[in-house]
Amino acid sequence: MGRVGTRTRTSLKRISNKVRFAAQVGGVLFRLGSHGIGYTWRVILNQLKFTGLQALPFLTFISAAISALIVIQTLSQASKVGFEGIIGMVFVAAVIRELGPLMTAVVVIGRSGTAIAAELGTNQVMEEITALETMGIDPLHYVVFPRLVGVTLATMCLVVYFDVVAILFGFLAAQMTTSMSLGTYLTYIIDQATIADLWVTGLKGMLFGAIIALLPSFHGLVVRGAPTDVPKATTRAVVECLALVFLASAIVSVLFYY
Amino acid sequence: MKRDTTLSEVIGDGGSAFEGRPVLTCRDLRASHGDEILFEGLNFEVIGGEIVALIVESEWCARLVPRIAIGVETQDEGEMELLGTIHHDLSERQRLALRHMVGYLFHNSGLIHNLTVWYNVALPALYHTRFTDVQGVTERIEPLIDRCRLREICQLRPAELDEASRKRVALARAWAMRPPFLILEDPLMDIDSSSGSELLDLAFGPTPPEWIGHDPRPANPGVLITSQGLHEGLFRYVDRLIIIDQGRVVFNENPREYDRRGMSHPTDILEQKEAS
Repeated sequence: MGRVGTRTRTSLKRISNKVRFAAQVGGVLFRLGSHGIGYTWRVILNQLKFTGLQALPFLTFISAAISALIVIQTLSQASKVGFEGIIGMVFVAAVIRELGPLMTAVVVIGRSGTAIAAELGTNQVMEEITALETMGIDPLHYVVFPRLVGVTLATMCLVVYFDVVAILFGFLAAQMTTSMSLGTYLTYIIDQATIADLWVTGLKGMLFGAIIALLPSFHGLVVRGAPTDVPKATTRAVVECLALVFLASAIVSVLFYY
Repeated sequence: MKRDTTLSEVIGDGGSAFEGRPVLTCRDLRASHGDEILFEGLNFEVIGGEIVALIVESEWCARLVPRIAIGVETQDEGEMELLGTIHHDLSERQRLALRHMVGYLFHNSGLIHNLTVWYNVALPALYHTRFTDVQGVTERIEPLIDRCRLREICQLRPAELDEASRKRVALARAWAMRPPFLILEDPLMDIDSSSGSELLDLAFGPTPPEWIGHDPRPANPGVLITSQGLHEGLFRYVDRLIIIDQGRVVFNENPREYDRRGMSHPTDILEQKEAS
């Protein structure tokens, strides 16, 4: 029982450290006007380019593959009983509400989450973070905050992009399977989509982006000493990001749809 | 915090603001590493315009003292007063504000690997202006690039440079804000003796004729150098040499005046240390 108590305390302490870290990064927002705002924007733009623009080809492939598979699987069964209209319900529920944000998050974790954890871990080992502190530069302001803003904005845009590509390739798959017209296909989808879906898509993108920026930053910055700690920190960041993103997705979906 | 928009509003004026006054005061400092006491009862001052070299016994110690001085590491006992402020009671934000007026050269240069040499030198100047004052920063950084002989390499990244060049970049960066206090943390580590002499000549030597009247180095800053050994160049430039042996100060004098005071030569002290 004693061991269970110790583990619980340790887990709670780890969680509280991460919450405190997120609060400290959030606090940077209130001091933005004091220093380096011009330079911070340049770092944000770089992050947007890496997380957003450079992820587009891979995300297009994933989005096209998933939407085509779902449409083909659904229509191949539904068309046998003349129930093609179900494609709208399945597509909105599976792709737009759930898989779109989740798969985008998985791609961003794989590309940017790992890069952030590894880069900040290496910065720590090379004492670059300490060097920033000796110059009076706040690492949260210079290193973490631009990543938070960049990854959050990029993830929100990528979720929308995923949905648009999914709708497009879903139509191509529908046309190949049942010769469905674009008008019919879009009508099925628009009939099922609600305003709440737009909000949820935006909210999930923002939430996942914040998680993917903050958790790897935290794990990168707590690396101490040995370079061998960097891959360990990266692995921890990826595992925790995946777990938290799926949990957050479930919570948001339950709150909005049930 | 002051809301600054141009570099001229945040940049220092070298040592003039602290002339004759201490830029660093170390009182009864004690620090340990595991069970080993690195030093205790350490007392010294660095006055504005004075160059002080602290010769210590270990690499760890050479890093620890300057880092305690600027508050990125903590001591077991004692206190440090930096630029007239005792900083262990300050918040982290207040410490950051204090540190921007200290030029700091890291033992491993501490350059940011994804920035070019130019941006590494300019980083503190770019960061400490509220909006990027490109003109002001360029006017400040360009002479530093030339003075430290970085023109040819200013578009390269730190990984593409040798250690001596990296040290020159780090020195230029330490000068960027024209600070009243400079800290050189084991600057001669990982470079050969002639590169070490060049670095010290660049940092403390007389202004070359072509730079007279517009030398971008900060004028008369207080300087603390930590080192594991007594380089010949240090003898030429330091005003005071502090040698720590077994955690205690055994020499604290101007190294050029040791014989007039009937003391052992500092190198003899170091040789005795090594022999013992």
